[in-house]
Amino acid sequence: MKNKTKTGLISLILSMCMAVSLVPKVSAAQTEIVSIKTTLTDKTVDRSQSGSLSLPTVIVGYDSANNMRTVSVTWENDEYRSYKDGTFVFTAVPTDSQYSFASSCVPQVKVTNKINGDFDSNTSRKYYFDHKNDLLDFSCYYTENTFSNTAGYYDIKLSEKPILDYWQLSSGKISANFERTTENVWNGLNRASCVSSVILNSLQLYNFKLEVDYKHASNNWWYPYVLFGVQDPTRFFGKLYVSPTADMATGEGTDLAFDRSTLVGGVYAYSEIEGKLNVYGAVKDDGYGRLYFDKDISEDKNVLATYNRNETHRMSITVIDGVFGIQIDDSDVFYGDVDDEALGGFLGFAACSKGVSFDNFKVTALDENGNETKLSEALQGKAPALKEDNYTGWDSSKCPLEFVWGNGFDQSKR
Amino acid sequence: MLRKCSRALLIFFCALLAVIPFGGISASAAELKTEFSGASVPEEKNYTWSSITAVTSTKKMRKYFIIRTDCGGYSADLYISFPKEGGFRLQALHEFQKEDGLTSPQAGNNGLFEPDALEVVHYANDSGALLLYGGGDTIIRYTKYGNGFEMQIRNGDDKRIISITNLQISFAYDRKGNVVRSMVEMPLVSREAIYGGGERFNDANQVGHTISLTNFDCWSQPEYSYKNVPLFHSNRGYSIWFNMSYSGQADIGETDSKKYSVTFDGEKLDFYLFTGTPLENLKRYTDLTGTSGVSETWTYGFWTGAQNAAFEKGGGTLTNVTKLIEGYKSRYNFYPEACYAEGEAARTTSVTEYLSGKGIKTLGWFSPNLWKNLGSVSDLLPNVTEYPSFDSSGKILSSGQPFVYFSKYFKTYGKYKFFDKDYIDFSNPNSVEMIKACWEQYWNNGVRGSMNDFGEWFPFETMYFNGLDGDEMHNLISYYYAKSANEAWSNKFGNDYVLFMRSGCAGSQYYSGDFLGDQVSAYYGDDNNGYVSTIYAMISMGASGFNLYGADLGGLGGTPSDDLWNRWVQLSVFSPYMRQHGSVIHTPWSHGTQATKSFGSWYYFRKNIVPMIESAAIDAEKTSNPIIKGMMMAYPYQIALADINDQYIFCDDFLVCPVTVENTTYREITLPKGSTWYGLSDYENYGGGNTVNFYSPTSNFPVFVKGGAVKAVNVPSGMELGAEMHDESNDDKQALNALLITPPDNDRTSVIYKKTGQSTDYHTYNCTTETYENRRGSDSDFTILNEQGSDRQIVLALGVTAASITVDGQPLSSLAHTPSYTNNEYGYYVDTTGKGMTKILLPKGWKSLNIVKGSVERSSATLVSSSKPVSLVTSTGFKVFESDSVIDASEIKVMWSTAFADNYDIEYSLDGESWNTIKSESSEHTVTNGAGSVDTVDCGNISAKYFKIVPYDVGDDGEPAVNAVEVYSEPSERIEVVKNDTNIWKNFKEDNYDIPFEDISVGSLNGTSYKGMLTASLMIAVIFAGGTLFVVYYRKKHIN
Repeated sequence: MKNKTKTGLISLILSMCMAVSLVPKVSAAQTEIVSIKTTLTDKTVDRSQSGSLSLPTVIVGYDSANNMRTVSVTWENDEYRSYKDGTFVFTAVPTDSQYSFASSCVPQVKVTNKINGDFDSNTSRKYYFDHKNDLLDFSCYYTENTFSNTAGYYDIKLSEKPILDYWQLSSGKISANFERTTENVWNGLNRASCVSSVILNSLQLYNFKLEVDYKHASNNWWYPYVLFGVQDPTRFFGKLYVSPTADMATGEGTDLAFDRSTLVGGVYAYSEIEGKLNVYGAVKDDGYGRLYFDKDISEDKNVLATYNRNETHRMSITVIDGVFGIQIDDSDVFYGDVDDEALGGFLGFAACSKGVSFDNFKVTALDENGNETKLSEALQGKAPALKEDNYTGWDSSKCPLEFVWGNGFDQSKR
Repeated sequence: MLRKCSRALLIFFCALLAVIPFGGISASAAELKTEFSGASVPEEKNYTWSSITAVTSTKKMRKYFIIRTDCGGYSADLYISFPKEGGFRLQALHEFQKEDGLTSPQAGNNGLFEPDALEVVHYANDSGALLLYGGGDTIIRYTKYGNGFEMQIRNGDDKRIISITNLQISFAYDRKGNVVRSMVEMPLVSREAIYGGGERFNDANQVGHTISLTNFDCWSQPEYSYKNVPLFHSNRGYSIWFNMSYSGQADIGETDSKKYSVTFDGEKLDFYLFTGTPLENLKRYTDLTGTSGVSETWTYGFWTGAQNAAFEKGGGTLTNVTKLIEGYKSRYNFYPEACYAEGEAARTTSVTEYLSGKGIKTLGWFSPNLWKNLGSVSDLLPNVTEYPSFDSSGKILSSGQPFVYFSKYFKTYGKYKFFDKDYIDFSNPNSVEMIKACWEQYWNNGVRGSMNDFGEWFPFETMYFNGLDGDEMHNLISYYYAKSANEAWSNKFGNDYVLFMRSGCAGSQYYSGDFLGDQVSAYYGDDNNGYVSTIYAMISMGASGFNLYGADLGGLGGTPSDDLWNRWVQLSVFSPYMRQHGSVIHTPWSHGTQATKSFGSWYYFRKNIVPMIESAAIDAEKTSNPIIKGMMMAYPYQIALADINDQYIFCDDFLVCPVTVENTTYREITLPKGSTWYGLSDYENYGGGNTVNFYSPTSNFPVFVKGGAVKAVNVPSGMELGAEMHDESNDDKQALNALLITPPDNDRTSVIYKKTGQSTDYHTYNCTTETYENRRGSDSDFTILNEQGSDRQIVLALGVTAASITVDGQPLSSLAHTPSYTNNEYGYYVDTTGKGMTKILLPKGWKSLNIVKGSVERSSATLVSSSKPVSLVTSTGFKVFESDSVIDASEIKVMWSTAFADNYDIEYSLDGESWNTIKSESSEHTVTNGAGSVDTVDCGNISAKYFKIVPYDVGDDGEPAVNAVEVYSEPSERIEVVKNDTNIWKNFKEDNYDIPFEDISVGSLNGTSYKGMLTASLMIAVIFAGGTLFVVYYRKKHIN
């Protein structure tokens, strides 16, 4: 406890020093704000009470000619992450470069981020997505491929992109912010196109629980994917199959295909808007790259009969020793096996269209028995590379019995 | 749900060091495919192999000896027991199985093949070792071996057969500690042979090969199989049967010539090891899994047929079927016993009505998903609930619809959800009802059998009604497929039907016959998956408990050459089932002169031996003695024979030597020691132990009958093999019960079974048993004894030129003609062509038949004898064959190469300038309408030094050429008693091999002493007696 307080103070001092260094020098073309009218108060965010960090987006102040100015701002603190417990001093930075704040009146807000038992930071990490600093821990990828119309199988690549070009933070959520460029028709080409993934860079757990809130876009059926076991974020979970009669303008005659090389893309789990759970990619499956849980087997109704596409849902994925269990809200748990190529690896989420949102991205480290364990001690890494089977078995030269054919056998040759 | 794994971290790091992809037990072993149409073996990855590293303790129990071991950090208990059936059994119980609550090893193959009982284990000390034995003659000498163990396996004679150490048993563990693969390795020594393995297309002897043990729709590719049975016989004196149905493979001395490794993708290690000969051990195997059945007599006849697409072409199915069937009738005067009318053909009323009207059984086609063409599930199974239902006590109320389940649903919830309503899950009892529903209306139209196809297409990652996952059921489903089909058809017809499956596994032989799968219409084919592969398949199946099977005569893929067609016909005659099938409609008359002319004779010869085949089928059902035995199976002690992959013993006494080279006229044949062999084509005798280069033109299939044989045959009253004969004709073509016998080298006993009446089912039938003693008397005579009194009045003595015969002590008359059956003309007739065949007619109820062997003097000259064809045409005219001196000739034998003349003259001359032609009484040329192979021409009495053959028309294959021309003098009229029989095998005992192969003189026992015959006087005919068995044309010629 004592050590923790000390760490907090040091952080605060460091933050204030850095805030000073953030004050821009005034250029000739800039308007300098020399006094602040907006009243700024310190904030306390209690995560246990669903608190969320919300800071003013504009500061009202006066320039040296005493003109009142309204300045749009962002709030900066390099240390802050929404999962971190502590006090952070945020400094306002004008988004419009024509404004600057005089060093005497740089707007600052002291934010106290209290996890307060919402999760155990020793074993878990949770992103609330209420500040863009959270995005510093993630990388963004997007499918940008040009496919030949020649029949065949084609790799689907994802290229790394600036995350805010494709995603935005609003209302304490991260939302896809890109438009689809292909039609809303279900085929391989369209499924391989306009997919943006957000990958958490820092944790590659073997045994974990991943929980995330998601919400479908309001105007289409495209999938909100939750990703795990991603070995190579630049690879999609499937390949594009182009049939000899494919129409590459519409995607008709194309499909997704799966082979060993696609396993590095990891596992993509999602619910269709009707509440049907799909798990695609590196899972031991029905031979078509997916597990498809479409029916309640005893009552012959949709798995999530009350599933409402317009509401926020929570997907929980537990992976222990290569066995995954997936639950949506309080549904039954659906089990499956992760391919060995998808053990460990990155976690994340992805979307296919604007409007899909995610929040409360929580990762908990587990041990091999399913108990929570310290993040610092959890088994991490990517799936081990596969090697040839070099087992040669028994050394036959060490057979203890020397067999003798004996008199009973005719040993002559033809 | 999630298995707790106390060693997960340890295992994970092990996995980092030894992460292994699926695809082979060893990097150096041959890579086998794991995916074929309809089946893809799930990949096992990231496992870590370890052999058993140490013994931690042992425990002596009353019926088990338990070896507790450490295997790479995991415990594994090995349970040794001695089944009542013989040998010993080893089963493993793994650490995590125990944690899951198991207290004893799980039986492989779903516990279907358990011993009747376990013997009490006897323990005894032996110089520091522990002897273990049960009630049989297999003894284990157990000793400590390093930190592990050695089990030295000994037979009843205390001979050391093989040893198994802890290091020869390995398990592969996944990250969680589950055993995902098991491997057992056995030593090999130089010249050791391994037979069995189910249906194998590569060879009979598997040493040097790596083979898959997963049932695949493999198009007969050499490394794969439709019917995997991991039963391996070693000629060193043991057999091992893995009571496991997982996917797997066996590297049999390919990677390491000193061992073979058998690997399975599963945890239930369970094998039986039997000491003894292969046949003794095959009996033990079938005691556990069941013998093959006995189908009705008509099934051993000839089945014609073709793919539905072939029938549908041109004029349509009925037209094509009619054309095919009437083609046989018009040319050969028979209707086939059955017609395989694939697909829609058998479901077409006009077709089945036509066939039924001709007395022909219609055979249809079935596939596990055929039902979808016939209706919905609710149509076909209206009273069956979708999923199983149970009462409150757990008793099953309904088995539900017979489809496989999506296993994760069951494992997660204990509930059922269909993986797919596609393939029938035959482990579900309602599969029987589904089969019935599919066939009901077609049964009523006359369908009497089914090809049960596509049993290799069952999914792996599903759960079956019997609770097993696909990894065990993919192969094992064939057992249930056969069982359900058998039950469905038996309920309707008793046993008056025939089923033949493509897939198979241990135990499937109990319920169904088989076909050999799909082969291309070529000798070898691009993938070595043609006709020759079927020879290996038949031998391997015989070693694996299968007995009722036959290949597609002609091959499924394509059209065979004329030469191959003839060979395939011949092979089919000597197959348990003779069935023609193809992607095109194969017909004999579309394969050239020889095929057209010879097929009728082949068909009728098949009809001749149907009683022999049926008897062998019954014997196999009763005793597991295979109808087809490869060389090692029949002669395990003759090591030199084990590598001969293309010879087999048929029905105990026929040595069948298929020709495996296109357009050849000779093949090398090695005759097993221990008996004299009698050529079925030339009736000559050949000494066992010899290797002969046998004249085998296209028409002549090398088959030899073992000395001392007594075989049941049917013949018409003319007593000719291959002559027209019918089951129910009530005339001189009526099939009559007969015996085919050969002189014994030493005393032998033969049992003939004959089924009587209609059977109740595949294993319930009535039959008579006839026991014949074939006793060697002096060097001159032998006696056939039948204590009950035989009703077989006709006896054909092959290889015998009888000097005299007595029956029940009374001398039998020597006749100048074949005895008249209708006139009860008891007596015998010695074929006057000098060939070794005596035809005997006996009174009913005879008990003792004594035959004094004789010989006939006759001189001969060989004008040309060459293994290479000698062309008749030279640049200056026709080739002249010159004798050393002037010879007196009464008979000329022309032995054609592949190419032959069908119309030709034979000219002769004393001086080489003035020529005469041997005239025919009835035709323009010496020989008219010949068919190649051998022409034997009666030339009256001529003297000549020069001969030439002048062809006018050529046969099927181009410029005519001969391999041999032989000229014979008039035989003496007196038959001399053979007094000094040089039979070296008369005192032969199976374990006495004083005479090695290389020391046997080829000439010492050949048939020359039997030559010198009587004057040929047969008219032109297609006959089997008196010359080459197969389509030999005798022509009586006289000089004008």
